[in-house]
Formats: sequence, structure tokens, C-alpha cells
Amino acid sequence: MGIWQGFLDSLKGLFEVSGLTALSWENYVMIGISCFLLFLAIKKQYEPLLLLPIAFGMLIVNLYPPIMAAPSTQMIPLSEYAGDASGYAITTIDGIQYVNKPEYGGLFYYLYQGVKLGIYPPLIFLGIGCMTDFGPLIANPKSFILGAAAQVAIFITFIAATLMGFSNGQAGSIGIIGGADGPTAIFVTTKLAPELLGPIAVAAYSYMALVPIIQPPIMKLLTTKKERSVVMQQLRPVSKLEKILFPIIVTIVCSILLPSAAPLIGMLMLGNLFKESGVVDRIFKTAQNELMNIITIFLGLTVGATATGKSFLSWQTLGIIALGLAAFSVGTASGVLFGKLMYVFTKGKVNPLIGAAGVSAVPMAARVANKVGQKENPSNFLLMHAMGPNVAGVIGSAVAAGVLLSVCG
Amino acid sequence: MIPKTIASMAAEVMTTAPAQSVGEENQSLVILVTGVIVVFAALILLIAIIKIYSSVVHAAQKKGGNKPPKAPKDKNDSKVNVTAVNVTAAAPVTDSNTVDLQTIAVISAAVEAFYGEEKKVRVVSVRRTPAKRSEWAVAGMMQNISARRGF
Repeated sequence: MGIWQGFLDSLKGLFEVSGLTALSWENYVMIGISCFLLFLAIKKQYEPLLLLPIAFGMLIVNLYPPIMAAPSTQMIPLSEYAGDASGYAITTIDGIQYVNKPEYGGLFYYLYQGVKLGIYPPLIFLGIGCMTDFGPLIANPKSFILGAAAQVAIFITFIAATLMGFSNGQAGSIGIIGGADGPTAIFVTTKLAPELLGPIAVAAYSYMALVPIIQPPIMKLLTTKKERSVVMQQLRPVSKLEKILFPIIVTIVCSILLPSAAPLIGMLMLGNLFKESGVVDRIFKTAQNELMNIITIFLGLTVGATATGKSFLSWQTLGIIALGLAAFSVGTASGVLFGKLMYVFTKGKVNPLIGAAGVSAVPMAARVANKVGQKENPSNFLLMHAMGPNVAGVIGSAVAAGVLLSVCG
Repeated sequence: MIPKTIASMAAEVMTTAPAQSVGEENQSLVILVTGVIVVFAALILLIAIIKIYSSVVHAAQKKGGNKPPKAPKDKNDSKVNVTAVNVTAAAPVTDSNTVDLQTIAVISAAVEAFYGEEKKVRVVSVRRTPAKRSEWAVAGMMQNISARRGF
């Protein structure tokens, strides 16, 4: 009977510590949401490289919340402590001795330090720099204007967020969604509003995947058939020396103007210099493959793990999702409108559609601009022209992030 | 003295200006205006710098003697049935003003192989056309780009 009773007590103890009693209804709702995001990532292929780890991180943290627990110290009265207390510090409070027993943090707590300390996003940018060709931008530097135009959405969304009651730091983090740049959004949010990291990351990556759906109606609404049919002059070839000097010059100029943007811009340009110099093939390959993949896994998992039920299921999250959509739409619209301005000033040489590529969702936005242009004229290849504003948008969003960090931080 | 950045100067203005001149309700507008102006200013500055250094690089490379090479002459051009053929092709260039000798040799060989033994040909010029890229080049580019995912 003693064994049987012991067995029943063990079962009862296991039940009491299981998720069946420890989880609340918010956790179960988040489990459902994470499964839906997994479906989007796997079946619909919405940015799977990041959405899948984000969704799985969200799933795990809502199944086992202590996986994100911070390390702590348990104060156990010495008289009640069963083990050997010689290795631990002893504190005396009101004459009673307590053993200071350290409790280690959860797995994701330690991995999350890379996000919290702003390490992972710049390393992601290093990999992005290795994969980016700035040739179209160097060939046509006016694309920078379109890259800047699309970032206006960040600051307009900032105003809207403050009117909705968010603080400056929170509004800056929400506004940066309009830059359509995941690492930048995570970098800014961890510094200005870490409590909103989960919903902002999910919103940013979901909308980046929805660029082919969000952008075309706005592009068609703001342009005429004649404007969409403009065939642009072929870009001039860019020499190797220009491509090597570009990352060095951009790093120096942007870091002097905005030191807070230096981690992002510096790492982006370092990656690009690895690529263009052609003398560091080994580390170039590592940066764009192994390093990028490792950081992507850690970043995605731990960002998703910040989306607990209590932080995610609130009216604030709905506001963030709505503002994120508005930011993307305004970014597209402002890029296209500036494109129209350039169309007028250049007397019809610039196709306004490439302005929509100023949002930094590389290369998705450029492909969308090319596709919309080809609907009017199937032989009109706008892709390389749109890549200029597209990569300019990456630099523009990093500069905008620097401004927000300087002013709101 | 360390030069101040534009953004830190704007932040100082916002924090040190008298409370009655920049109220909380105007602070968001100040951030909007500051942000837009700073982003545009930074990127316009980059445009200017890129245009300057691109011109310097082109001028330096031109001075370095990268002139378009002369077309090679055919030794048998005095024979009957010689046909002079102007060959213009979308040749790959290492610089905007040159076609390298290797490319010219390949084009000349291809032209001679094409005409065979019927006609003797003399390549008189090789010029890069301003036409759009070849379909193969575009297809290759799109394949490369579609293999990459946005982050």
C-alpha cells in the first residue's frame, strides 16, 4: 500500500506541475496563434526563414513559460535545506540563516541576451550585406531619394502611434515597422520598447511577407497607365573600384552623422565589403551562410519567445497590427508619389513604380515593382532599376532607426 | 571638441527649449520633421558623395589608358570577294568605355566561323550596344534574385 500511495502521490505531484494546471487561457490562445503562424510559414511560405522559428519560439514559451525565466536566487532557511550548503553563500536575516541557492535561467533566456544586447540584428545585417549588390544604386544614386521617401512612413506612423496613446519609445518602435526591415525593427524595439518586441516582430515579418499583396493596389491607384509603362534607360556598368569604395564611404558618412546607426550600417557595409573586395572568400561565405543561419535561428526563436499570452493578447497588439499595416501602406504610397515627382522632373525618364521599392523588403519589393510594370508592358524589365531604391531603403531605414534611437532613446 | 551629430543637436533643442515653446503635443511633430529632414539630408549627401567619387574613379581609369582597342585587320583583305562586316555586339565590358581584346578576338572568331569559307571578313569596329540586356542575362539575374529571401 505504501508503494501504491507513493505512486499516487507522485502522479499527483506531476499533474500539479504539468502544463495542464500551470497554463492559463491566454497561453492556449497563443498556442493556437503560433500554430496558425506555423501554417503560414510552412504551407504559404510567408518568410519561413524567420516566421517558422518565431512561431515555434512562441509555441514553446506558451507551453513552458520558465524557458524564458531569468536566473534567480532562492533563499532557503538553513534548517530546512536538505543538501550540502557549504558551496553556497549564507545570509542571516533577523537571526535566521538562509542558504542562497542560485536558480539558473531558462534556455531561451541566455539565447535572448543576443537580442537584448543588440547583437543579433547587426550580425543579420552582416549577412544581408554579403548578399546585397549595391551596383544599381551606385549606377543611379538618385535612387537614394526614393529610399528616403519610403521612410517618411516611419515618422508619420510615429505620430499616429503617439496620438493613440503610445509613449515616444513605443511609437518609435511601432513606426520602424514602416521601414519593412526586420532586423532594424528588432534592434530599435529592444532599445526603445522591449515589452512590445513580440507583437512588433510578428507584425513586421508578416507584413514583409504580404508585400506582394499590400503594394500592387496602392501602386496602381497612384499611377497612370502611361507612367507605369515607362521604360527606363539601361543602367551604366559600375566598376569594381566604385563597389569597393561604396561601403567604406557610406560607413564613414552615416556613422559621423548618426553614431547610433553605426552598428547596423557598419555591419551591413562590412558584409558588402567582404563581398566586393574578393579577398576574404572564406569569411564572406561564412557570414552569408553559417553565421547568418545560426543567428537567424537564435533571433527567431527568442523573439518569438517574447510573445507570451499576457504581452501579446491585448488591445495594444491590435493597435500595433493596424499601425503596422498603415506604415507599410504609407511607405509604399510615399515612395510612389516621390517616383511621380521624379517622373515629372526628369520629363518621363523615371518609372514611378520603382518608388514603391523604397521600402527595404529586399528583394521582394523590387520584384513586385517589376511585376506590376510588366503587366503594362511585358518587355519592360524594371527589376534592376527597382533594386536601387530597394537597397537604398535598407540604408534609409537604418538611418531612420538611428534618428529614432538618438531622439527617443 | 567633438562635432555634434544633427540628431543630437535636435534632441538638445527638444530637451532644453523652454517648456512653453515646445509642448508635449508638439514634440511628436518635432520628431517627424527632424526625422524626415535628417534622413533626406543624409541620403542626399550620400548621392553627392557617390557622384563625386564615381567621376573621380572614371577620370582616373580613363587616364590609366583604358581606351577602346582598335579592331584587328584581316591579312587577306586584298583578295576578291572580301566583305567588310561591321560587327556591333553587346559585349561584356570591364569599364564603361572599353571592350577587352579577348572579347574582340572571340567575336572575330565567331563571325569568321559564321561566314565560313564563302566570304573573307574584316572586323572594322566592335561597339557595345545601348540596347536592353539579353533575355538570358535577365533570366539569370531573376533566378539569382529569386533564390534569395528577404530578411
